[in-house]
Amino acid sequence: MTIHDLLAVLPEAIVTLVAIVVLVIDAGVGERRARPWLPWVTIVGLAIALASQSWAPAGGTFFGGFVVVDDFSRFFRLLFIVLAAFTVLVAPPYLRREEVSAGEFYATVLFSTIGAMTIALATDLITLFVGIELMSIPVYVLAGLQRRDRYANEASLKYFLLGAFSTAILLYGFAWLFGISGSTDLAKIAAAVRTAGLGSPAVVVALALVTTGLGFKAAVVPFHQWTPDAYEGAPTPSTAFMSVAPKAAAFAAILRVMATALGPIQLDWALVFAILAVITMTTGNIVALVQTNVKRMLAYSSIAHTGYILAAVAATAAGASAGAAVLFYVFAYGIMNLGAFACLELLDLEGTRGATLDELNGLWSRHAAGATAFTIFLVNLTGIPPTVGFLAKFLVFQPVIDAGFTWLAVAIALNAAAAAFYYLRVVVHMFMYDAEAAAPKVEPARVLSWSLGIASIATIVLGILPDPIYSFAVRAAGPILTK
Amino acid sequence: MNIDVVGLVWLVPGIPLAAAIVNGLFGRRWLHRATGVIASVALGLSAVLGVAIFFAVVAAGHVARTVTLYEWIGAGDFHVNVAALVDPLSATMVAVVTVVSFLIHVFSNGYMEHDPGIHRFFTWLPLFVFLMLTLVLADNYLLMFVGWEGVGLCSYLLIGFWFERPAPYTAANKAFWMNRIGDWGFTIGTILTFLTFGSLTFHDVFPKVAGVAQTQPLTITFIALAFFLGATGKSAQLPLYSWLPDAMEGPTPVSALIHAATMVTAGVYLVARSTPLFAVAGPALLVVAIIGAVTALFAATIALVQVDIKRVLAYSTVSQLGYMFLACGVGAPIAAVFHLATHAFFKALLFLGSGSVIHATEEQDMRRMGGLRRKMPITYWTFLLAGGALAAIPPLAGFWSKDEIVGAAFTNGQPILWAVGVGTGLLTAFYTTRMIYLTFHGEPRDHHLYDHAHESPAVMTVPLLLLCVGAVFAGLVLGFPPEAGFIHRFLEGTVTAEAAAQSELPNYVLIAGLAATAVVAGLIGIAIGYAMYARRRPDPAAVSRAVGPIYTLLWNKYFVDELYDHRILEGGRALFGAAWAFDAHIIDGIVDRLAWLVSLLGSGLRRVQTGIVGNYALSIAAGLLILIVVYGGYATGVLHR
Repeated sequence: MTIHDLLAVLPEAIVTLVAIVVLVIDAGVGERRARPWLPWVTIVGLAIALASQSWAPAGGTFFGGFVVVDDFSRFFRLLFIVLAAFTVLVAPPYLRREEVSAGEFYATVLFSTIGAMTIALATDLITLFVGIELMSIPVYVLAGLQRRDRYANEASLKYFLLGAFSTAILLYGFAWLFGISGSTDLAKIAAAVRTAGLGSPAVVVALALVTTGLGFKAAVVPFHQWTPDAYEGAPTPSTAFMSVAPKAAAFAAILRVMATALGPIQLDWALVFAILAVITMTTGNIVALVQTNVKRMLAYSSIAHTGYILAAVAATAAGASAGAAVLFYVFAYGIMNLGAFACLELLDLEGTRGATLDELNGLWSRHAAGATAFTIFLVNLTGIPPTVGFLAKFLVFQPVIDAGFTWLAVAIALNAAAAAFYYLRVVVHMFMYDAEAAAPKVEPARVLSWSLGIASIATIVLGILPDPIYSFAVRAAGPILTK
Repeated sequence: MNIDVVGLVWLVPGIPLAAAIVNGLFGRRWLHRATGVIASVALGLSAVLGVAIFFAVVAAGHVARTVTLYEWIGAGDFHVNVAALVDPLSATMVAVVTVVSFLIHVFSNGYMEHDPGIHRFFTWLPLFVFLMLTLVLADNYLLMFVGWEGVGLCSYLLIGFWFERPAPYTAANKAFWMNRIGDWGFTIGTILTFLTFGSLTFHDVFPKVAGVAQTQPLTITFIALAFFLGATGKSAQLPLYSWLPDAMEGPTPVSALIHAATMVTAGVYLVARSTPLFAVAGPALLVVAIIGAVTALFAATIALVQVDIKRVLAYSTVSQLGYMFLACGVGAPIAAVFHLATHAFFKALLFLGSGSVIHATEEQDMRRMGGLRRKMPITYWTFLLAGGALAAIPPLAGFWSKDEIVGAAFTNGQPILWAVGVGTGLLTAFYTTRMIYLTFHGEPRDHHLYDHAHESPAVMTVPLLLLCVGAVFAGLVLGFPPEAGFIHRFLEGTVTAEAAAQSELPNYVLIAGLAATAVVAGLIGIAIGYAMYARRRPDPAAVSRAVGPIYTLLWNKYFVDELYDHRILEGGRALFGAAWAFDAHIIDGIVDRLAWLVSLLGSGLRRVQTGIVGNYALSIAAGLLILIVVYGGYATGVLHR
């Protein structure tokens, strides 16, 4: 280990440091006095972490081949830091109201972020697995942060038990991969898999185990059932974070493992992934249609979005454009989905379970900016131009068709059309129905409102001017998917 | 210090857009009448920059620079940039549009002063200018289409500005539908262009035109005709002209800016911009020339009998736009752009002058006016000069440009079109004289109205005077000597397919002869007008009785509106009804059934979500088993990919 190696992971190190500083301030200064400015400490720390990349080495492998810094890892660093910052900005009103410890929340989010960033750095199964665990365990904690809420307890416990179960499956799959190749290095595994081919039963078992394990993290049907329960029961700020960062990290892991280590047998898993994509998006959308709880509806919607992203993964045969589509979608999804959940934080609701459709009635007349921002995020999730949500779906089509999955493209289009119904139904409730007497109080939260406003405008600006992010995604997909 | 003004070209549309956003966001609550000042200042800045760019292009000679803002669409082989093409043609248009827009914005401060919707007005008007400049500066057909649709939208909003009244509302709808038909043509043209040339950027398309014309002449003709259909919608040519006179229901500054000086010339701009395409498009060019000439004559005859001052001007605009298309059609696009520029000044001035009259009298019917020249001297003199320009009296602006068009028809071997042009000139001079006499001369016919009339405030008269400078001198400055003036040297090579090797001097004897004929025709028109309306010999009423059926025909505008309303709209309504029934019963029926099925399925799937961790784990395990079976099936060849 040289100073060079340490500099290469400087952003991760700084995020770790920030998390510790937040905990120390929280403990030292006291909850009450630290609360107002802890978010800002976190934000500044995250900004420094992002900026510190310019002092780090330009790229290459470090720690004896365990870590790689390339455009792919840089893309995800940017994404995870943005998502963590957005989470921290929108959380305070909820945390204050529900008396959740702010320091613990921010630190846990940061710890999970470090894990997610580590996944993107991995060229080795060990690093990858450490990253996955480092990301997942804090998320289980986030789900149960509201200790006295029984739904939060249920969410946390279910998420943890099933997470442990699937992690075991994933680890077992990694063990088989090691058995096949005698190495944990992704490139060496790829070489071994190429020689062995799918004819080897070991490869079949490893492939199935890895697909299941990673599919769980990304909430692919039929490994998705934890999602609605965990999302619904967790405190809303936790849900907002849980629904985006771990999913993005899961897709980073999927790209690293499936496209690199299992790339040689890409033909064998691509069709399975395409079928899983259709099942996932269709199940997510159909069940979302019959939900009356908006938080739960958004949980199913996030499953549907997993399906769309998985479709681009299945199309990796099309080359870098597929990888770029995955990355761009993950980025767009991160902002729009986090924003949609965060809009629910505007409402003062009992417990963790989010708003029902009726509780959103007439939100337009009570909090016009919030209702507008929510509408913009929902329009994004629907995929209507000129939003980034539209562009993300649009960019998935090209590689999917290029890879020969025309039927998959048709399925995406049909699903997107059906999904419009339940997204826009929320808009109808907010704008066209009158608020009932028992309507929940609206939070007077300035930073929250501004953050939502800026993020919702950003989704439109990115929909019209996608270039900085899209060309970054194209570059980032390069090292993973070169034809 | 050397500033690259051309590089700043995006500011020209950018500043009006910023004004529109500010006024749109804060106008209703805080800014109110300040919106007018903000919009006018923004347009002033934009105009200064627009003129600076014009002079920069003049100084640089024949430049054609693309200023790319960003790549808009890049999907596979399909690349479209948001980029401005700065060349002599677009620079001319930018200068005309920004200067005229600025003056009209200033004028509107006075005209709209007491309107409660002033903030709406000053949101949409700068937004319109932004979109018009986008249209003009676009370096490809797609971005141009964005501007094209955008100006149509603003036009719709501004025609229906007083949406509480039924007439503006109906007029706005009519404009919308007629423009849709034209826009459909534009869309078809754009798609065909992409399919044929693989690009939508002017710089990629035009060099390939000649080659493609060899192999696929029909395709080129069809593309040109599709674009021309778009142009007839936007520029109110036959058969899609009848929305423009109705559009006069909008506020008068809107009529001046959108429905006279700028938006309606977009069709001419499109044809002029696509000259390389039209030049090889076989019969398409002749279609353009004939439609232009016929529209010019047709609209001028209707203008003869109109009594609403704005409607006279509206039909006159349709007629003048016809001249511009005639110019394009006989291979004189420079003359078309020249006339476009001079027309922008004198027609904007005529509209603003009529606006000044309407503001003073709250009346649009010329039969109730008369004698107003004593009350409104500035309005009268500027109106008179602009009318002279419209009637093509030398040396006013309209003379030089219109004369070139009519002359070009003759020298390019279309004597019949030349005769139509000269005849229309006579009618133009007549209805202009009639309009001026009825409005400003003679005895006041409505004393109440006359007594309350007053000259407009300086915020309105100063723009009139400034526009008047353009209406008087633009022709001389741009177009003297004829056929070889500044505008010819400037636009040569940009608008014409290739720089025509004009080594020989123009035939001045022929030009002078043609010009003299046209002037004489104009003078005859004025003389008849003067005799009928100043001397009452012959009396106008007697004349209209003498030519009874013709008068009825003209008075009812050839019954075209009735035809459109009754026959076509009825057919349309039947079609809409059928479409609605199909939608309501077949499509919705299927969708309802589908929704019912889906919700059934959803409820079923929802039941799978038991909430019991063991069940979830079981489903994960089952999924894993299925995966092993499927992958194993591939491996052993039982399943096929």
